[in-house]
Amino acid sequence: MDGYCYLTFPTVYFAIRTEAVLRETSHSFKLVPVPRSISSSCGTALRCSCTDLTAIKETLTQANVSIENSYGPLP
Amino acid sequence: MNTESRNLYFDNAATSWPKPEPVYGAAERYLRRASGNPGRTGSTQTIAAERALYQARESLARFFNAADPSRIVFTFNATDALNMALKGTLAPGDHVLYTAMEHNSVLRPLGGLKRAGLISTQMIPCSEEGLPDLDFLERALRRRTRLLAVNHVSNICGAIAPLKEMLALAHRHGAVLLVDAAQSAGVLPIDVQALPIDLLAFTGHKGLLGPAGTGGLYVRPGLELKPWREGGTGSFSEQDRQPESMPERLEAGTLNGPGLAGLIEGLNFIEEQGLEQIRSREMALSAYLRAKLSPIPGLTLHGPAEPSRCTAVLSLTMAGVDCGELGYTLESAYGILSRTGLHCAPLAHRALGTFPEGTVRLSPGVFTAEADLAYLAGALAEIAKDKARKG
Repeated sequence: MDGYCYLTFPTVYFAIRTEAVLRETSHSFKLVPVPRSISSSCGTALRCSCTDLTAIKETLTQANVSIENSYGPLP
Repeated sequence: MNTESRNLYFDNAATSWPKPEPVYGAAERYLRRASGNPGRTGSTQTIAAERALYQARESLARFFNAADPSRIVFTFNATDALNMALKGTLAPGDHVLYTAMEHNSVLRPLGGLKRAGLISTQMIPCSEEGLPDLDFLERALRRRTRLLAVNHVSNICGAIAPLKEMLALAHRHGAVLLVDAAQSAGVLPIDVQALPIDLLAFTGHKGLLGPAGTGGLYVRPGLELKPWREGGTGSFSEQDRQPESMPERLEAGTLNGPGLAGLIEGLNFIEEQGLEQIRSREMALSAYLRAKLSPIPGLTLHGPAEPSRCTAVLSLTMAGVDCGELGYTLESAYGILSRTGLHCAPLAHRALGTFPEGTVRLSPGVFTAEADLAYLAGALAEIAKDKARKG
């Protein structure tokens, strides 16, 4: 699949928490500046493969990470 | 006494020194490698800075057993946190109670609000040992009492306030409990779930062994404060109002990243040593020092005599010797660093009966050895003897 999917967060606290939670899993991901085409209350977004998106969202929800929105795939 | 090259630091109640070695390195590493502005867009360096802040928040939440780390707000010291708590909670017409042991960091903001005609206040008197009169407190609580401010540990004599009883009384009357933990954080266990404190103000540079310019305010879930300082948070940037989410609601402007990176290491040190062990060792040292000092003629120790009712902070006076002069002699002749005077807590000195002269305050820390205390006691005994000889 071309492009990445993105998750945005209400605050940067949750963006960093995401990293701590996902490090314990096998998902690959990266924290990146929010793409300009997305509007978010926090400047840091999670970028991941779109095939992993559902599983990642589930993991984060279970770990009480507040997700603002999910996007993708974006080029 | 051989005093050459001695430099004994007994002013840990002002700021702890030295710091555990990793504290220095962490602050330096942050400055060299992580100094993006946390929360402001997601460059790699900024995320590294944000990680340090995240970790500091998590560490503090774990330390005070706060279930939700976002309720830990970073401040620059306890004074900052106390101002944030008082000015963010109180509304016109509110009644506020505070104890005689409060520091000027509580007395002055309350005085300012009172002079502005916004609030009314009442002091809870304390005994000569520095302990609050709970019967008086119970009678003083009224319907309009919004907040009770309590200094957990006296910065003058180390007296420990009975928080559990005070919290029960405050909550029974619908008042919020604000605890000034400047002297107790890192010294006594504080668990905000076991003892549901509403607001806990602490500093990073004393018992938590971190750098100056760090501290925080824990705000109990469900209690929402008015923002005391407003500005950039890196979030909700299109709005001209402070975000409502915590901790951004109360945090604005660039935070003290290098300081907080150091603070994490201070907390790690305490966790490794074990707070209970630190406290037992401190009580043992305190009992040892008191036993050494008690027989010295003309010397008076102020505050609770029972080590379980106080921390290692100790205030003393010597009959016929000005406390400033005594402090000066301790430093110039013995290399002992103390703090003399009123310690920013004039009402506490009134309660202890040491106003306006003040006291010499000696505050050992986690790195103080028994031999240091023996030397200190020897110095005081010598000064007392000298005074008795000269008259």
